Amino acid sequence: MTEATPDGAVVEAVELSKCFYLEDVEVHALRGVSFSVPEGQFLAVMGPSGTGKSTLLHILSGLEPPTSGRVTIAGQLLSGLSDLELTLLRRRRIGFVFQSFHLVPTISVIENVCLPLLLDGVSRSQSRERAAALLSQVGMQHRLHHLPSQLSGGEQQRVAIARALIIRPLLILADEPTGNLDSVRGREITGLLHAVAREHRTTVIVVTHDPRVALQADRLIVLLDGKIGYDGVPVADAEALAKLLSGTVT
Amino acid sequence: MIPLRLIVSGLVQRPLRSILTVLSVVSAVASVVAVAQAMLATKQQMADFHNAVASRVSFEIVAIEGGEFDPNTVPDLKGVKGVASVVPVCTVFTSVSFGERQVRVVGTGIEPELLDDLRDVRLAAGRYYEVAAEACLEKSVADRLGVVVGDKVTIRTRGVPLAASRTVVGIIEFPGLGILEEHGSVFLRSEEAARLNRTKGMASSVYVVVSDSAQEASVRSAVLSLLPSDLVIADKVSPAEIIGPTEVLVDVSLNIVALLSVVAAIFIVVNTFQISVRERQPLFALLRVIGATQGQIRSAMVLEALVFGVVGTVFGIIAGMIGGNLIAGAMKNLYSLPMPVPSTSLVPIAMGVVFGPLVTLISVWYPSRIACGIPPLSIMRALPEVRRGLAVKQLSMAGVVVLAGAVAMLLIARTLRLSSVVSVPGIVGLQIAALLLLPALIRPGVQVVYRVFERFCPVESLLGYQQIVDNFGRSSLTTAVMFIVTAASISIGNSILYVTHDIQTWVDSTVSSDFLLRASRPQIDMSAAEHVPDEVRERLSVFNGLADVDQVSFSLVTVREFTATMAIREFRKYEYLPLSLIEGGNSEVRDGMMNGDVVIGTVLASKLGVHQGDSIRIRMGSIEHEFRIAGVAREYTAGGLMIMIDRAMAMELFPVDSTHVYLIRAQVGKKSETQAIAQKLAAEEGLIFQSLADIRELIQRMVAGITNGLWLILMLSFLIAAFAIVNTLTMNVIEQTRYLGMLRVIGIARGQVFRMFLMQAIALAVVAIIPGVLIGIGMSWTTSVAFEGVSDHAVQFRLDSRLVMGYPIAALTLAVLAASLPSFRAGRLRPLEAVHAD
Repeated sequence: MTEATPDGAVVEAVELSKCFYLEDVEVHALRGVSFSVPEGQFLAVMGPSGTGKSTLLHILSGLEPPTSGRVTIAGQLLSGLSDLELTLLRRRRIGFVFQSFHLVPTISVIENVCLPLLLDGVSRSQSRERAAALLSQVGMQHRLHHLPSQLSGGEQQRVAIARALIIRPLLILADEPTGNLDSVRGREITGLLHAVAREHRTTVIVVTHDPRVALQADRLIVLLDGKIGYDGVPVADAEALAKLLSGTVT
Repeated sequence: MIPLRLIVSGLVQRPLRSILTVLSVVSAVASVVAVAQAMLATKQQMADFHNAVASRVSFEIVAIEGGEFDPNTVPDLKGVKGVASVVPVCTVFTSVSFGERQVRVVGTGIEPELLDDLRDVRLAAGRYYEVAAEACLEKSVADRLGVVVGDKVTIRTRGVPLAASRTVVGIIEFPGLGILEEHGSVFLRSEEAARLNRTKGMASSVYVVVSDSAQEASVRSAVLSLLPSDLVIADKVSPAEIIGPTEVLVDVSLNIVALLSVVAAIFIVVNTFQISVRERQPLFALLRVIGATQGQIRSAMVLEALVFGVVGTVFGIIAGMIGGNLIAGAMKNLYSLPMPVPSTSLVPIAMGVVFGPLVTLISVWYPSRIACGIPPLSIMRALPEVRRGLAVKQLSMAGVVVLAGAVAMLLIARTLRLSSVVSVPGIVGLQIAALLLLPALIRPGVQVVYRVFERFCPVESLLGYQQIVDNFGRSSLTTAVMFIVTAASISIGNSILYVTHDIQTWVDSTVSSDFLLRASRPQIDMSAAEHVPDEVRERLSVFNGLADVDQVSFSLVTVREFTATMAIREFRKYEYLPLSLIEGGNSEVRDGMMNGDVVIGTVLASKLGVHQGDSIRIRMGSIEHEFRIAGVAREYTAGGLMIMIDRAMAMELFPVDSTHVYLIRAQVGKKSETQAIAQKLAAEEGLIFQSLADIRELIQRMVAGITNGLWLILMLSFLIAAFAIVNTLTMNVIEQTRYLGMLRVIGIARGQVFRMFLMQAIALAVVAIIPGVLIGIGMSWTTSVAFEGVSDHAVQFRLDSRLVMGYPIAALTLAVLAASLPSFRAGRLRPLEAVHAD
């Protein structure tokens, strides 16, 4: 998995800006955000509500275009890609993990995990083989044929991570992956994402409100009013983090 | 490719949604198959009815001076293209007696092998006559005389002192005549009838039958060009022409019902698929996020639709055939005719096979576009679905364009007097135009209902109103189904009622007497009626209980190229003329008739292009006079080709001295006594006695047979609409499960949820039904206008207040009842389950 740019960046964001119009009022979600993320890095993005964290994630995944600026994923400029090319990029290079898990409720755990491969034309047996192996890795080998509704929140999120991993992505984008979990399950999921980044050399970008998740990351970016307020190593001290998030320290 | 398992698991684990979707296809296919089958059955039965009741004779050749002529002077017509059969007939007025019993009948001299060419005939007993000494009796005559095969009857001809004894070798029955009670007859070989009439070798008419594929008008002109100058062509009017206008209307209505059933079916399926897709928008968004292409989602939708289409088609065809057969069977009973229900045709099945998968594919086209267009972000932003407004402005503009096209088609149909091929699409086009304009009415209409409900249940009304407005596409489709059914029901129902009312008005106005006496059952054009002996009037005059006796005669006359029947009555006796006047008031018409004017039937007026105050030249034999038209009257007898004239005036101008019918009116309170006297006189003189009630019943039975069939088809449409309401509202509940769960969590009570859905149903029903009723009335009026274009009967448009007032109440009740089940289901949802539902 060595599809990073020559300088080693899997994700490169340059001067990203995003404006929305809410009932004729211009809202600046992002204002000239630039950063790059190297292969295998676990990046946490924090910030108060409404500072553009989720918008940043959407733009990085190609689900939403920036108003200005550019995004490069594995050396590929997103702005020039068609809908189909963006779809294939998501299908083959990017894994998603959501706060609400978003598993298909009517099919089993293993079938949920197989889904991205089946969409890509991989055979059923091959998909199931890989899915079973991944589910085993995330500790869900005993739940292969259960329906999502029969799992706990933590288990559902493990399945979602397995689904994100099955395509062997370059990049995993996780939006509040521990938001619906208790602290123990949250720690487990964060550990799992961290292990993925280490073992598979997969770049992981996690948007979170949870300082414990941020603490386990390799790097922390704090967004304040659509701008990068902090970019560096995670801050362990709760008070210092609170100051960072409130914008009193940059 | 999206895995099949994903589709199948979705279908299996959401059984109610799947069942409702399949049921929508089943109902759509069933309605198309049932209506197609009912249409075929009705049309077949109408054709059979005509064959049974009406003779196949297209026209007849008669002597211009009246009376008999040598049939050999008629050139060989069999060589004329389109002529199927040429049948010389000798008609002779006779009385047939057997023992003490005697009846006056029309003797028909015709070669037995040609009987089948003229009409459906069945040998009830014995065989056909072969030699001069043999005869066949029509079954009603044999029954009245008590004659069976092998008996000898005595036949006397008017003006011939000697009687002829003939052996009855067969009893003949005409299917369908039972309800029309046309003339009874004795059938003889033609040379024998002529001999009895002392007109050996002569014929009174030569009947011409035109083949089905030929144009009657061109055959008629070809024949006319070959005839010698002393022979003319006369129209042969069928008894079934009395119900002709109803038949035309039935034909138009059936076509409208068929087209609308297809439109309604498409709407139901589109609506169901749209709801089904919207419910799964989060799933499609998720698939898009993890890499499903638009094509993959579209393929999955199409595959699913095909599965539903095939399953729904199979069950729909079965349901439709059962429904269609039930309707056809019921109609058979209503016709009271010994006709088989048409054997199951392959056409409705083929229609179902094509329609089912096709309509599902058409129906899935729009929802699949929505599904493919779902922004993947909708799931990341936790938006359960994406609302898409209906392009109301574009639809309204399209509605105006369709309206213009429909009006143009109707104008063309009326101007060029085209058949229903043009007028039916025009009428349906009107409804489609209204349908396209309907969405513009929904928001203001629902707001009015909301304002009313707001006083009683403000929260539920607000939430219900919001749901309707937020789901505008779904609301529009649900409203559209109800609107189509309402407009069609009002339109067709009112049209049926005003036509039957027209016939009833005619009967009430014209049949002013209580009883009638006639010598023989006449042909419907009255051309071959036996005269009643003069002594009958003298015998009647001695009874005290009679208020009045009116002598009526009928004569065939010609006006320009048309043959008409002149009804000669003692009109001067009536203060209120026994006419159903369309043009002219009673007193002015009466004054005119006393001065020698005539009243003509609407059909004749239409054919001649004349109105009250115009003049026409009437020719009877060699005598011709000009008359002023005092008025135009609604007339169904003799196909409406009637001329009414006062008896005294007619006797002055034409050789009229006989009486065909005595109309008897009893004094108040002496009806039963008069009836007994008239019946006794009829028995003694061998006359036919009929009461006014009999005639009314006869006509009512004829009309009811067809109209009841139509009501059954409308009931089927009504059921389809009810299903549409249940289906769409249940789908609404499924779609809104999460939203309802959220409402329940924050404290909305079950009763409030129930009322919220009920308010939605009532609001949608009101928005659909009120415009539906108005458009239905408009379509009914338009049908009457288009109807004038295809028929000479100018049936006056009339609004039936019972239907217009009663239908909305019934429809609203149905909507509330249909909405109750899904509303109840919504109220019973468990909050936590609902809020976590996907």
